[in-house]
Amino acid sequence: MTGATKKQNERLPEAEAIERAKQGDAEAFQVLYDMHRRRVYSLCLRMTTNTAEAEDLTQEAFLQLFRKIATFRGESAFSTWLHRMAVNVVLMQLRKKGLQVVPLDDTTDGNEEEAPKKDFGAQDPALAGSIDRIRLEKAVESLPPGYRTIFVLHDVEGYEHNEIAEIVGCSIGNSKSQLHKARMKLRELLKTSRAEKATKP
Amino acid sequence: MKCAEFQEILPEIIDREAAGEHAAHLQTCTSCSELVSDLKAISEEAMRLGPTGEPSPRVWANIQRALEEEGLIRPERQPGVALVPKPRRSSPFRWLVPATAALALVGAVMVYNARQPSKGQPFDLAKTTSKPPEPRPAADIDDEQLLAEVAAPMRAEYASGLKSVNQSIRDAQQDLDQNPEDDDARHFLMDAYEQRETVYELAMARSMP
Repeated sequence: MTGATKKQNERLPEAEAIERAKQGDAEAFQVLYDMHRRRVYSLCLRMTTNTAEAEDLTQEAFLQLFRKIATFRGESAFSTWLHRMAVNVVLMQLRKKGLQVVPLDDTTDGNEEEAPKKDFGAQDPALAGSIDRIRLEKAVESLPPGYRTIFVLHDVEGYEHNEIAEIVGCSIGNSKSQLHKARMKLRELLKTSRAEKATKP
Repeated sequence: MKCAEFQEILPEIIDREAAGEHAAHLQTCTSCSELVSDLKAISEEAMRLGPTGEPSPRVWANIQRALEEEGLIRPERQPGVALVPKPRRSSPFRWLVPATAALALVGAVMVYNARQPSKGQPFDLAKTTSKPPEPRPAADIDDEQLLAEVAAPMRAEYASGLKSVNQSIRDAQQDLDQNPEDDDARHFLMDAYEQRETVYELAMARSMP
């Protein structure tokens, strides 16, 4: 792409890019890709924890979007439409791999090490004010897939429980329960990580 | 309220303001109060997590290639190369070239129309050939009618080809409208019509029994 074309793309509003993309304008497709690629990629990466897989899923999500762009009527925000498509692409991939993405009451399948510990009178200092982004990202990465899916969709991406229930095929109550367990597990992981950091010379 | 009872109901109430006995329990229980505080801190920090990075350039390259192969985008113009081809020497017979292309297209249309079954009337070759038919611009041809004749497995491919070549004709016509004296714009339009003629011929060949 030439410098002049790149500069033009930067000024092209999303609505215009969508209409041009419907006409088959290659540059318009790239504008839309550039606008949304980071967020789609981040969603895919957080849910799969694998960069190569996240790239493949990002590619597939955009291809599905571009194939269907002629049907976009603007009833919802374009980013919402794209994002929902990306989530479905990721979930389909996780299901193909046999990973638990539809939360059960117990996503740990009996593995007590993964289950968050119930909290009765813990004496650790509070986490508030001491959570850093990198440690949180690492902790999310190490969540079991079922917990991670719900946590990423709700707390990171901002989906409501009724939307999550519809997307992953569970009840609203189940979504709330799994989110709580995900947060409890993250609390445990963050406290452990903080304790390990404190003991290092 | 005991801690066990409170933590049992916590998933339902954590994302809203505590009230009643729940609020009362939090007032008196340091452990549950810190638990709620920690879980909310995790949720709030998660909301602030931004994009994690960039996909590599290969992702866009793959998308672009797939879109071109599927006919969803027009081939990208090479940088520095204008839509209008390189200037050629003007020819005194230049008017014959687009006229020839138009006649070739008309010929293709006539062949197509001749194949249409007549509606209750015998086919009269003399009547048909006694008077040259009115030339019809390519844009008037019913693409959908043509595509309906194409074998189903090939239909999508020809639809995509027609869409692409029709866009080329529109682009070329626009250039010519803006530069009526530009021979190269005229040549480009002629090329676009020739491409459309080719698509029609291929489509009709596919639809023959």
